[in-house]
Amino acid sequence: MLPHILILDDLFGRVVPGGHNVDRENLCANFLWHDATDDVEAKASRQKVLEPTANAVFFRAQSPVCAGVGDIVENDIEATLEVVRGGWVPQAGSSAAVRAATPWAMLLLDLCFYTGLVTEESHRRTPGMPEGRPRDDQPEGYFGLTLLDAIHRTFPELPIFILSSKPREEVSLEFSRRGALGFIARDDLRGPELLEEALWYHGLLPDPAGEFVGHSLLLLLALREARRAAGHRENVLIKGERGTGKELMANYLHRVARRDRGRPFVTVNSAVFTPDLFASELFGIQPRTATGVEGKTGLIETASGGDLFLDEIADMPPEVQAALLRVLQERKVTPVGGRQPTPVDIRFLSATNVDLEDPARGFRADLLDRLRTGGTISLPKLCERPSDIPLLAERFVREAEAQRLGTRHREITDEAMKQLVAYDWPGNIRELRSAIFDAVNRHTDVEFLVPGHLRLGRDRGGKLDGAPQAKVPENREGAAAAGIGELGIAELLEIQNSFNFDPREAAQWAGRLGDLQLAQAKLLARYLQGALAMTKRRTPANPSGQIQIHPAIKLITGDSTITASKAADLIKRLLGPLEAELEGDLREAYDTALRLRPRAPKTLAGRT
Amino acid sequence: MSDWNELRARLSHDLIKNRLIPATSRMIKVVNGSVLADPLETFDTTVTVVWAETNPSLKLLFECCEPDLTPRNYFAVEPLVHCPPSTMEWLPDLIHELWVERHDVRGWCKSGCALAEGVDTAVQSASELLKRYDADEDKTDVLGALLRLQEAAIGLSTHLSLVGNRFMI
Repeated sequence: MLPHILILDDLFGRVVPGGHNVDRENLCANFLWHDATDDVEAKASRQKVLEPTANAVFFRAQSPVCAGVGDIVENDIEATLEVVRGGWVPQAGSSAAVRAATPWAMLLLDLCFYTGLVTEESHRRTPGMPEGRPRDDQPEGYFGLTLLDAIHRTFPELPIFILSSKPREEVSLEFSRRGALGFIARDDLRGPELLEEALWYHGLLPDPAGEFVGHSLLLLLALREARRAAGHRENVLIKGERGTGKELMANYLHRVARRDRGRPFVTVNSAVFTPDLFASELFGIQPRTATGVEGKTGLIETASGGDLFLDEIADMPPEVQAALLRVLQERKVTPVGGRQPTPVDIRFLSATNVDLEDPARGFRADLLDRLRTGGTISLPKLCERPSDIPLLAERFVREAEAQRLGTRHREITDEAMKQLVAYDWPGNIRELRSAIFDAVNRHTDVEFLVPGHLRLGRDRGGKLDGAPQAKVPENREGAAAAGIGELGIAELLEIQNSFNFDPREAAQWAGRLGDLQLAQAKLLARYLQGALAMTKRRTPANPSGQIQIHPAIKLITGDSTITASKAADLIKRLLGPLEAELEGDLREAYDTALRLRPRAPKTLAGRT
Repeated sequence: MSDWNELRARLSHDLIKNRLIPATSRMIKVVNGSVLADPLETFDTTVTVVWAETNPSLKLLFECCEPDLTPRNYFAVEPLVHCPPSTMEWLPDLIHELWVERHDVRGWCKSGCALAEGVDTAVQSASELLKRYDADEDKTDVLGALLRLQEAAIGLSTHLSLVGNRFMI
C-alpha cells in the first residue's frame, strides 16, 4: 500500500494550458512518485514510474489552477485547506472509496508562491506562471509560511515538510516555530533518500504487510511510534486493552527494524512462569556430565541479538521480576547450575493491559522504568478507531469464508456495518473477529451479512450454536462476550464445572456422549499444543523452534519434578484418542512420545 | 536587484537548479529503467529545451558582468557625475581596475564560460549517444554521459550562486 503525499507548490501544482507540466514530471521521476492528482496533467503524463514509492497529489494552492496570459493568480488558503481536508483521516461514516484510501502520510510545502498577472513574458518563461509581486519572493512574505500556520492549526497531527529551492537558512527558525518537521532542498540530489527517511520517521504510514488493518489516526500514530522505537535497541513497553493487538505490535516493531532483519524474535507469556519454572526457562540449564543433567539454552540467550517479547508482564511473579531486573542491569545471564555468566545483547518488548504504575499491582517500579527506556506505545481501543471497523470486518469476513469451505462469498450490508460501528467492542479486535466468524459460521448459505446475523456482546453469551447454553456466571459477562476463544483458562474451567444439562432439552442429548468425549480430547490436545508452542527451543539457526515434550508437560501439569518417561506417557494418553487426525506439533509430540515409550498408550478415559 | 543579478538568479535558480538538474536526474531514472518513457523524446523535450534557453543567456551574463557591475558606472550618475573632469580622467578607470582585481571578476567570468562550455559539451555528447541508443548495449555509456552532465550542471549552478552580492561595493 503506497503512502499518499500531498504537495502544495505553485510550479508543480499548476495545470499548463494546452501543454505539459514538465516540472511535475521531472519531480515525479526523481522521487519515483506516481502522479495521483486528479487533473489533466497527471492523465497526460508521458512517463510511468515502474516501482513508485508514493502516490503524489499536487495542488497549486492558488486560483486559478490553470492560468493563461491575462489571468491574475492569487493565493487561496480556503481551497487549499479543503484539499488537505479531503485526503485526511476518513470518518466512520465515509463512503467505501474514501475508507479504502489511506490518508495523507505527509504534506510537502513550497515556500514561495508567485502571484499577480500572467504576462506574455512570464508565460513564455514558465507557462501558466505570473510575473510575481515583490513580497512573494521575500522570506517575510512567503505564502508557504502562512499556509503552514493555517494547516498546522487545523490539522495538528499532519506531518509537514518544506520542499523548496529557497535557502534553508532564511526560514530555519520560522518553519520550526510554525510546526514543520524539516526541510528538503529541492536541488539536493539526496532528496529522495531524505524524503524516504522523513516518511519513515514522521510519516503516517499504514502497515505495508497489511497485518495491522486500518488507517485511523490513532493507529497510524501508534505505528509511527513503533517505527521510531525500532530505530534503536532500547526496551519498549506496549500498552493496550485485551484484543487490541499488543503481540502484533511487538511483531511489527521487530519486523520494521531494518537492522534487526534476521535477528531472533522470541515470545514469552510471563504468566506461565511459576517461580519453579522461570529460572530454567529464562536463563537455561548448565549441562552436568557427572549427574547426567541435560543442558538447555534459556529464552534470553536464545533471543540474544534480537528481541524477547514478554506478554502480560503484570502477571509476572515477584521472584521473576527480581531476576529479570538483574539481567537488565547486568546484561548477563547465568544458567541454572552454572557459574559463568554469558553476556547478552537483547531488547525487551513488554506488553500489558493494566496500569503497572498502580502500587496496588505490586509491579516493581525500577523494573518498569528499565522496561520502557525506549518509550511506551499505546494501542487504541477499537471504539476509538471506528473508521477501521469496516475494514477489519471485511477482512474477517474473508478470513472466515476461507476457513469455512463451501460457504458463500458475502457482503456486509450498510445496516449491519452501522451496527458494527456503533457497538463499543469491549473485547476490541479479537471480539470483532469472533463476532464475524460466529456470524459467518452460523449462516453459510447467504450472500449478505445482515444485522440479524450478528450477535454482539450479551446476545452471544457463551452459547455455541446447536448446543445447550452454558450457565455463565454474571461476572463472566465480559469474557463470555468475547467468545469461547477469548476465555482464560479459569473461566473455561468455571464454565465446565458449572455447566448443567437442562432436562427439558434431553431430546438433544441422544447419542452425544461420543461427541463430548471427542470435544474434550480436542480441548486437551489444544492445551498441549499451546504448551508445546510456548516451550519450543528457539535458536538463531531455528527461529521457529523445536518442540520439547518434557518442558511442555511440566508447564501444563505444574509439576517440575515429572520425569521425561512420565511426560511421554501422558502425551500418549492425551493424544491417543485423536491419533488418526494429528498434524504438525501434536503429531511430532505423539511420535516422539511413542519413540520414548513404545508401549501402547492407555486411553484418557482409562486414566480418569 | 540589478538587471544583471536578476538574470543571474533566474539562470541559477529557475533554469539550472529547478529545470536542468531535475531534467538530467529524470533522464538518469529513464535510462536506468526506473521510469518508463522514450529516452530521446524525454531528453529533447526537457534537457535540450532548457539548455537552448539557458546557454545564450549565460553567454550574455558573462559578457555583461564587467560592464554592468563595474563601480565605474557610479560616475555616470548622481552624485559622482559632478566630479571635476580632471578627476574623471583617471579615477573611474582606477576604481574599475581595483574592483576587477580585488574580486577576480575576469577569472570568475572565464571559469563560468568554461563551466558553461562543459555543460554544453555534455549535453551534445548525451544527445548524440541517445540518437543511436540501444538499451542493451549503450546503457552504461549513456548513464556515464548523463552523470557527467549532471555534475557539470551542478558545478555551473554552484558557480553562479557563489557570486551573490560579492561583486557589489
